[in-house]
Amino acid sequence: MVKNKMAKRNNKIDDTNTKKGLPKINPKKIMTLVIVFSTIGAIIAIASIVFLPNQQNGFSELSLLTYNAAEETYVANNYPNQISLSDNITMFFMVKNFENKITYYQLQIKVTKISQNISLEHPLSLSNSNLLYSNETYEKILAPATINEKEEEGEQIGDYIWSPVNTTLFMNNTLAVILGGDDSLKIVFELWKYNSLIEDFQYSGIFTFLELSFN
Amino acid sequence: MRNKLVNHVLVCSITLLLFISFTNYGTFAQSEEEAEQIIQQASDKLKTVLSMLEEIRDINTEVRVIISQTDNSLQLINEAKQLFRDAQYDVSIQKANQALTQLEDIEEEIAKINESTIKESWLIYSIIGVVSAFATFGFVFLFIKKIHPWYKRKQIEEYGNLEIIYDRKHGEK
Repeated sequence: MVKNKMAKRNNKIDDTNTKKGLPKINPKKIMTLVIVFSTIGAIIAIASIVFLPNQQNGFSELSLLTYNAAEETYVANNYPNQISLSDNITMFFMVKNFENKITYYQLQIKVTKISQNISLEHPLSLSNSNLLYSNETYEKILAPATINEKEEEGEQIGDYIWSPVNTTLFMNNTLAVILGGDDSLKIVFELWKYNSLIEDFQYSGIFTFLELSFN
Repeated sequence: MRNKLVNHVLVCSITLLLFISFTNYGTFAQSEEEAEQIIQQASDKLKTVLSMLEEIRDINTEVRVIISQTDNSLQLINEAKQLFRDAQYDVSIQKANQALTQLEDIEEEIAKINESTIKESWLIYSIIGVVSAFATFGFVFLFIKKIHPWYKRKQIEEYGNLEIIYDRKHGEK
């Protein structure tokens, strides 16, 4: 009975407040709420910085370039279209580290049949391709790009860039065996990254290639 | 007599030649083994340094210089490996040793950086701890001094408005 009375009275008070306009705001209550929420927010923020790992969803960039002697620049065009046993090709590759962490790269250059498919998940196996150079020939440790460096375009020098590297593409009878008499081939540039957990290189899924006729 | 002397000289020369070639082969084999060992040591050290570098969160100018030096050591190791394949063991040893020394210096530098980072972390955590303690005391103070009395006052106000009506039993006046 007492409870019922109290509930009725409270309802009456609420009704009068709503009728008069907005309910009376208590600054002390609001201040307390603000302090409580800001403290909870600060604790969550600090904990996330301390305990959560850095988000490292970056990427790497691999480009294949040729040298334009007239303009003294490296350009992504004028690619050669044939190779022979007697004529070598000079090409340049460039790698940029946008991975948000220090990365140890290895570039593998492989010769394969033109009909060979290239996968993003698996590297070319050595049963259907030949390595042009030994594994250690092209290796580099790069610092990650800074925020400013990420916004720059067309840069070719910096400690996050594996500056255009001169590489000679060649063919010999040993390499030609893999082609099985075909008159065209594919030279694939695969980018590998070192994984400290397994202490070995892993295929990054990043590649580029040249299709050439062979005579 | 003369024939005997010639034979003797011939035998001595052959023995000497054999001795020299065996000694050379021994030294060559020893160099090969040594080169292999030092290259392996340098490669292992490179792995250690890489793991240490990956743990650094703040990649500032100083760390970038260290990364460049590590890359330089990597190139030296790869040169040593190439020289080893070409059977130039002495030069290979030299290159691998150079890389190893460089990597040991880098390891020390990274250890120093990590040490200073740990000190900085301690400072930051201490500040956070002290601030949190003050905040806690502040809340307790606020609760005891302001919120609790306000709640009590409000309670009294609410209960003060209550009207107690006793139910009368049947037959009572």
